[in-house]
Amino acid sequence: MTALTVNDVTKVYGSGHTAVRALCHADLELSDNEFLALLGPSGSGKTTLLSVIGGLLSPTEGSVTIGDTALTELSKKEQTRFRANRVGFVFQGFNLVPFLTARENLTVMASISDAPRSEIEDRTDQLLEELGLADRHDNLPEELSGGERQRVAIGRALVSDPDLILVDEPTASLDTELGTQVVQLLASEIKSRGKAGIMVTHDLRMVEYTDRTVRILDGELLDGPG
Amino acid sequence: MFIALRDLWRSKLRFSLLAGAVGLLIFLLLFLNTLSATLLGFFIGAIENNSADVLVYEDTARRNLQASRIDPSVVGEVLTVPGVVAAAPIGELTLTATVDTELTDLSLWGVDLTGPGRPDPIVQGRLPGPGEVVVDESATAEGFEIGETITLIPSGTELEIVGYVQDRRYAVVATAYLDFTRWVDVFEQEFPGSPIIPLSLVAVEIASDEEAAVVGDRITAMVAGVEGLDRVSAASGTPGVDSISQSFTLIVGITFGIVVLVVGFFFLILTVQKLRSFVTLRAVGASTGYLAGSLIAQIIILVLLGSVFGTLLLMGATLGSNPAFPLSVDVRLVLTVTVAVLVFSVLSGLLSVRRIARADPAEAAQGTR
Repeated sequence: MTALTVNDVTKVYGSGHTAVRALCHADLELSDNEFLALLGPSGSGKTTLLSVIGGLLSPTEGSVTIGDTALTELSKKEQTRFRANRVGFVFQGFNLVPFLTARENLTVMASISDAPRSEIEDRTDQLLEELGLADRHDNLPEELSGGERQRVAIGRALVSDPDLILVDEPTASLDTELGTQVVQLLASEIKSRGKAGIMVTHDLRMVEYTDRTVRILDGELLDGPG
Repeated sequence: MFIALRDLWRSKLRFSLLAGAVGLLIFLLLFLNTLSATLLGFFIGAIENNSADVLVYEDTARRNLQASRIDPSVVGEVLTVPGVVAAAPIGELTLTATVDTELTDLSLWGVDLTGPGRPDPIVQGRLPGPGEVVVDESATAEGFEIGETITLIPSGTELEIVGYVQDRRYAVVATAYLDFTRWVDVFEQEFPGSPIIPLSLVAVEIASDEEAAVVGDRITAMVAGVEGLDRVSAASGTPGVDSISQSFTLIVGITFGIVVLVVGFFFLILTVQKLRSFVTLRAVGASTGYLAGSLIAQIIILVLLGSVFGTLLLMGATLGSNPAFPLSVDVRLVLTVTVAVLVFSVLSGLLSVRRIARADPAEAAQGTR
């Protein structure tokens, strides 16, 4: 079944002479249980595409459908609610809430999403265990290493059991070994849950952990690792 | 509440300091209000809490009891006004006296002990007989205690204290009440040869279906040379009361504004500092309402803590207050101030809510660590 359909999406920043076309007629489909690598150099439009898919940015043209929901037809408020329940984000910066512990950075989703608190609590414990953070659950982000923070961010993306996981440059601030471990873990978590995922990266070595690779260059999508 | 409580808990020192600052300011608000109420009570308590419904002044006295001189015949004229059930004379004399060998000022009121203007209720002791008075109990700190004798100067008239009334002080000096006929005797002894003994006021009791202000206006219209006022108008119209009230209102108003601004700016600074977290939470699906609710919850908790702290300080201040000028905690005042600070602090927090609402969740995808 199709988890995601990106249909002829164009995103233009600014207007007139200062207009910058970040995405140009992008089309993409993603199936359930498929983990896709979006590969491209800096400034190619990777993060913009991810933001449009996740409803963080509105496309200038085109549409995004996640499952059976036309995301681009929802109001801002509905998109926010949709993100809380159906989309998991792992941002390029870890973007953890600094005054919440590792565990609380996951359980906070209980008060944001519609999932029952008990469900979120159970899933949190399971994820912390799987992500190797069981003994670090009570630490604040500032007390965690880069790899641990990234794993907490992955946990937060998965804890509300979303249909689609969007991951932006998960290895950007990690060394090669740690980066590889994190991507392996990410791939394993996404696949074991039967979710669809997109990982933005500029690191070719990471594509081997995904099912498919799509390249992006100057806002245009090109099939294959190139 | 989840993030509000976690944030409070993890920034205990920061929030405690602010709660302390808000508490000090709330204490200042409560203290100034208490001080103002006590001062005004000492100044016009005898008028404000008088047992009469309407007080009649000489019309040229400009609501100044001590300047009011009314001919005793006016009592009878007032009685003829529709709506008046009873009328009785009130005489006031400010004298020098000694009690327990100490020289002091005394406001001596002559009233009909069973008619309008009577010292009611007697909170301790009994109604005065010949050569006896009851005093406002706040004067006990100045030596006016039951069983003590007041000696008037220069006549040397002696009056024994046999009871207390409450909140019936006048012109900030010790205030005593005795029967009007005894008061006339005192007047004659203090001012021998006086051709007439003028009344200061006429105390009026009105019919149960009448309004005091209306009857007061009726008296003003029907009796020549007098002005009838309900107690509240009489008290607030006393010369000096307006100035005192306005001064305190100004100080209290400025302090109130400072509390609200301190809370508003503090949360605005905190919001700007935590904007990255708010952006992240919005990106992962937190609504503006959820984040605003957390912020408002923090403001409410903070103001309530500040209010508790401010009230404790006020209790300490009242315990340590001078017995001659006793301050007390008025629960209604504490609640009113707390609710007012709460409401306006929440309103000032809307600046922060606006900032949160403008946060673009897309920024979360473009961040640094």
